[in-house]
Amino acid sequence: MALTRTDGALTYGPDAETDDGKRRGGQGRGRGQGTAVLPTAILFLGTVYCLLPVAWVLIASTKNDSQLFNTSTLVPDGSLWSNIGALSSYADGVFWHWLLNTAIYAGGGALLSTVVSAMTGYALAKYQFRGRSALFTCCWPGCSCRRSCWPCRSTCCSPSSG
Amino acid sequence: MKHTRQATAPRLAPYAFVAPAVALFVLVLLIPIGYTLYLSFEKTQVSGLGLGAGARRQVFAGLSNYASGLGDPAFLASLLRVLVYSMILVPVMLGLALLFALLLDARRVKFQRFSRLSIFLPYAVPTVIASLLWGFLYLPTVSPFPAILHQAGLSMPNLFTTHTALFSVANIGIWGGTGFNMIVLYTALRAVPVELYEAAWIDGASQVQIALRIKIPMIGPALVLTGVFSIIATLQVFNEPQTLAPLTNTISPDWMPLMKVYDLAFNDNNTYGAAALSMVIAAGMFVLSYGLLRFSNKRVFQGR
Repeated sequence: MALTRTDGALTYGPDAETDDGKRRGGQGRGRGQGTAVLPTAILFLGTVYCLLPVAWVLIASTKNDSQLFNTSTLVPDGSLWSNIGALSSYADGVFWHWLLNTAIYAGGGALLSTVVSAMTGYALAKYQFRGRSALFTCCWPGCSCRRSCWPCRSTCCSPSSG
Repeated sequence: MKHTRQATAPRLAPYAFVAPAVALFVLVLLIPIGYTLYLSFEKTQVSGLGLGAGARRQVFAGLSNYASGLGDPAFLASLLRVLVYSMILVPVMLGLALLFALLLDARRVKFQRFSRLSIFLPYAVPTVIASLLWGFLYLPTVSPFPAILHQAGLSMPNLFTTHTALFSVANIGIWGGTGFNMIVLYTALRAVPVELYEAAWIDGASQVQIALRIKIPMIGPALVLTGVFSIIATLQVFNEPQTLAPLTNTISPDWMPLMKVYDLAFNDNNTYGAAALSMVIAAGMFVLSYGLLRFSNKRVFQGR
């Protein structure tokens, strides 16, 4: 324990340590104290990799055309509102119409697929009927070809289903 | 009367429940596939100069569309390219996802909640926007990287040469996909009983040993399934290279198999050739998914 404490003392104050130790300890996982520096640094690098492009696009949204090419790419400028104004007035505000279309498409699609999936899942789970296994097999290609199949993948991938 | 209703109700009910799904399946999957199959055996026959009402007719083509599609060196090159792309992307993405999931689950690691959210964030960015975003970051005139590299005395390499473009595109997939797979693996890790770690800890195992010998084997099924789904998804890559294509000449319109289909259908107006290639790709994907799923079912459900 003494070793890990000195290890942690390099980076963070004692308050943060005990607080963290208590919280994790409550979950039954955190018995040690202090910070593991290298793992935290690796995780931090991953965070930077994932956030940097998002930060860049937020900054870029505050620049007009000439600022985008001529000023430092990591310093915000003041053109955000004029950019949003230009977007809104583009082709008589067609952008907001597109956004509405997306909302209808996404909301309607989610509602329809949830209702249909729930009905089918209920029948597959609760009834034995002719064609049940054939239907079950037909579900697979649809599942495997979709990139974002949350429910299917997360239920398949949890170890408890094994 | 009451008797018969009781006897028939359970027999009709399941069919009523599955009817909408079956109707959708037939309408949006079977019929389009059938029509594509039909089109793949057809061609346009031009008589005379191709002018006038009856000059262009649709006739039976046999297997000629398949022969010309499979004999096209550009298509074979794109097939090879997508295999290499998948071999780059999947191991790196799953490796990172596993590493981050283990770090999120490890003790004494700081900023876990913040990191979990941050690394998952790119998954919420649509692939087209992610591609545009990274496309700008790859272009030296608007990218922040040349300035940063210049401070370190380095210069920015060209990210769109024939050798680097594949990595540039793969990076977009890695950036967008790591977070999702990390969450899946992390969820699997959280479901492992804590007692196992405690026992190993009491036996004197280090955190690294616990990760390598307990955590990774315990989430084996989740790793196999994320691997299978990632392979299937990356072989169908389309959005990223298609969005980047206007930025560079390196990414040709037939760079990936699905881009080749799109190019045939909408630039060459060769619907029949595109239909034949679609059928080839669909058959290949079906065989591959079936094989991979069978393999993973064996590994996942009988391996333990």
